[in-house]
Amino acid sequence: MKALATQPCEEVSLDSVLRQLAPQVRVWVFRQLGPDPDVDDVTQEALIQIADALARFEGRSSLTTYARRIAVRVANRHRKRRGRRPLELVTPPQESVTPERLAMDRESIVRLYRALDRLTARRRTAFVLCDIEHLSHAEAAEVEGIKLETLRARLKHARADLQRSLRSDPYLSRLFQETR
Amino acid sequence: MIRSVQPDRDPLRQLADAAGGVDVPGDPDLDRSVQTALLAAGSRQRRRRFRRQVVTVSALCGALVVVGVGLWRSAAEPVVIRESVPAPAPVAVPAESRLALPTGDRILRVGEGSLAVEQVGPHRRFLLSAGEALFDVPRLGDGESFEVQTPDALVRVLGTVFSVDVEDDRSRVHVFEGEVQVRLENGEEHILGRGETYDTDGTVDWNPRILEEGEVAAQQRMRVASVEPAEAPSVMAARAPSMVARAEPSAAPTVAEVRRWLEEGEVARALAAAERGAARAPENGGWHQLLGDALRRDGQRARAADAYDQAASRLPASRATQAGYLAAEIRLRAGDAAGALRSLDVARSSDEGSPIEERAFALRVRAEVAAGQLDQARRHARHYLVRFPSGAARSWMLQLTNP
Repeated sequence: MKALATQPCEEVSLDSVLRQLAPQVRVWVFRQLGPDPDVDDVTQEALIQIADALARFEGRSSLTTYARRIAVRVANRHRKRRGRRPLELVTPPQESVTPERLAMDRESIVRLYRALDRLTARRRTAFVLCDIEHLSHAEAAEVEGIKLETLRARLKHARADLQRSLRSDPYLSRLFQETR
Repeated sequence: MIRSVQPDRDPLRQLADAAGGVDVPGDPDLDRSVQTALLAAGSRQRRRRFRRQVVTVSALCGALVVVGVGLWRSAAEPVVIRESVPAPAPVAVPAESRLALPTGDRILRVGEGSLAVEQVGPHRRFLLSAGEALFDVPRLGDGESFEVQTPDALVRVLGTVFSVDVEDDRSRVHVFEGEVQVRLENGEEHILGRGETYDTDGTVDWNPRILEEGEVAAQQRMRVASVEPAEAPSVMAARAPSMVARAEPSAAPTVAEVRRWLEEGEVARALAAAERGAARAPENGGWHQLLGDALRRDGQRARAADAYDQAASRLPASRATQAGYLAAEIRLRAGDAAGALRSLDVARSSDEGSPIEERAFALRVRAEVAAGQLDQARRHARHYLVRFPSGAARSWMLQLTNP
């Protein structure tokens, strides 16, 4: 840290900050969108917006939270532009497939993200941050810039909506019926 | 690849865990993405800055047109430059405004108060009944005059930069460049030269912005004057004994003369004269500042820092902040971080409202880091980012707050 004192201020560049953030930004975008061919483009747009916004960063939150908030918003905007994607017809899983195996099935995850697409952006973001990315409620509330109670309410509604939606999915219905 | 999930759990939770365990495909070209992001962000910032400038310039042009039309209408008809025309009624100059007259005079009005244009043309006359204003008046031609009437004094000029501050019917006049005649109600007259102040009461405080802008205007005027033929000084009256700051005896060079020597590269001559001046008038901060400049040019940086510290403790607040900053910068470069912090503290350079607050604050944080006061430095870095979100040291402060 002492070396910073003798280093001219301008030499600590935006470049190094962005380089450290870039891999994380890609992960955040992927978790928000799920399997999506546009992950690279959305990551690029998020990096541009973060680079642009760092000039105005006031240090009110941690840099990571600030960048994550931007990545989430860019992903949400992309999803809104893209619209809902239709579900492909697939053969239901065989009876011999265990619920645990079914939950890990790639098709199941695709269907989870399709169900998430049907939620409002706020509820979906709350679910992805808390249940998929395993952020604490407080961390997720900070990323979203909302109160803890609001976050909890959104998460509760998101879970209920998803339960309803997935239960009626022919591919996943067995998983939900068996554990009802 | 998907990591395994625990059995016998809520199926939604199982699905979410599986989704969270999906490995994110790596991007082999992340470096190029970062470079692209930096270029694109820079381009967006430039576009935004350009748009902001266009809006600002348009607003300024609009404001100038409004002021110009207002002045033109108030200057009575027909429009006269050859003859002085009293305004039909004194035209009030709005607070926090700049006024540029067709005669080249520039007036900066700050804070609350009351300034009115009474007369325009060759004989310009203003009425300042309260508040503070800076007047930048080009050299007056034959038959021209420029006057500011305050409740207790009449200030007349012969091409100068000066400011007048009126509080509770007490006036204070400071001359940044040129000469000004102050005539009191009782007929007493005083001539003020560059750097001199006349104070009818001694309780009037200067607005730092006035001091800052006055110095800038005076410096610009001096640069122009240096290519003009020298003109004999016009002394209008004997210097009054009640002046707060006095001119040096005629045999000794003035601060302005010595500074000119320094600017012309006569460092040794300027240094010797500045040392004599500082010894002769130890309470005059201007000499100490000049001595600091000369010592720094001469490479005697440690002595220069001492001289700047001396200047900072004697100069008016706005100039003291700059002297303190220079002292602190020299000390920090020499590895004396504690000394740098002391200099900044004495001059209050990084205090809120200081004209060089941003630079001085950045210097303070660097000095704190160098002095090992890391907690303090981080706290101040966060404060810097809040106060100066686009400050020059922003990225450095970001590094400090997010190690």
